[in-house]
Amino acid sequence: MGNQRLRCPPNKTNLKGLNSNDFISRMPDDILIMVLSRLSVKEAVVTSILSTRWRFLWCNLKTLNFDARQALDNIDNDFRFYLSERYKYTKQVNGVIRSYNHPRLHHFRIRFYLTCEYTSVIDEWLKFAVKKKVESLELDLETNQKNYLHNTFNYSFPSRLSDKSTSHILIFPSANLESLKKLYLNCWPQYDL
Amino acid sequence: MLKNLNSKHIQRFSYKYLPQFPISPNSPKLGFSRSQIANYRSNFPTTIMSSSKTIVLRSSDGETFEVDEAVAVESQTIKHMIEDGCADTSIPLPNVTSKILSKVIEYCKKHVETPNADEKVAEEDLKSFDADFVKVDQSTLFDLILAANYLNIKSLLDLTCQTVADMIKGKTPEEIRKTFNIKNDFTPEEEEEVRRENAWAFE
Repeated sequence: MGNQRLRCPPNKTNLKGLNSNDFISRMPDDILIMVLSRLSVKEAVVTSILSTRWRFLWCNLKTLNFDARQALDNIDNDFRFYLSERYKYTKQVNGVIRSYNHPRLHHFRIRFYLTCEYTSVIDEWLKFAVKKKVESLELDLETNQKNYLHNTFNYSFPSRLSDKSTSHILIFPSANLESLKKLYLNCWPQYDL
Repeated sequence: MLKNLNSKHIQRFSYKYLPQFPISPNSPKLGFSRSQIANYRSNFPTTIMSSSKTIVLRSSDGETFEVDEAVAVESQTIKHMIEDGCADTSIPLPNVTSKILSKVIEYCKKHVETPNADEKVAEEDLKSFDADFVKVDQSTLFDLILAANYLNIKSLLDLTCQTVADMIKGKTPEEIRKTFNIKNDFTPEEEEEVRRENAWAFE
């Protein structure tokens, strides 16, 4: 409990206008966030429509874990399935990036099969991570295991990534990002030494 | 034998069991850290202090529960109170009713008694105990969450929060509202806006 950071000010339980049978709404925010952290990102975002109180609760999540490899690994070599999953995946990540309104994020994890066609999309994701002063960034885009992706080029990690609004610059390989503590990359970076 | 017990024996005895720093009247600070107290207690001979201590817990409605210290210290809150020396008579828990406290004690007892689950049978047994433990009405479940939070019992907090998460998983917003009796206080325009913002989640 001591090392769990309260991302919103501690508040008394919200008893205004509650049903007498609405027990979950008597919980303080930090407990609801604990519950949300055990859901997938999509399920957590679904709760935003439950009531005005729940609308931005999911934005207090410290970890955004977009790991969609499992579904692809279970179905081998189906290119059409891959395409539909890829569409859903990028839509999900882009949607979350648009709506996530907390200034900081601890862990940002991307794990999927994507190639260089998605360079600008992935760059946007990285800009988001930079802007949110992420502490642990994981970008795992390994494509060599998929036969139908074998001959395409892999995503190149940008040698210089800046977000003009906050002037955070990530220079690979020495991560100059102030808050970044852990960086995991699996996307065959290319850079000039 | 008592005849032969001279001052030399007593000095050696006490030197072994007291904290290892010089104590003099001119010592600027005479205080014990938590670890020194714990170390002192663990080395103190059992003839003077009983090794299986019981702790008295008092619920908000005045009922008292006597539990083994090993069970009570499953709660980090209670553990720190004991270490800070606040547990001489009884420990008041103004945020926990007797109904919830008795359930929490039942949970802690079971988890202390079960040896550290390397045996598959013990692990299965504990899992089924946990599964039955959370088959309670919502009012009790959320009171258990609050108690586990206040008493800082990580495993109970994990168990109860996971139970609530499982009640949310896979449900539509309307189903979730129905499960928990949550009132939808959005105006139609606001609700439409939220749906639009996160359209991908509601497909």
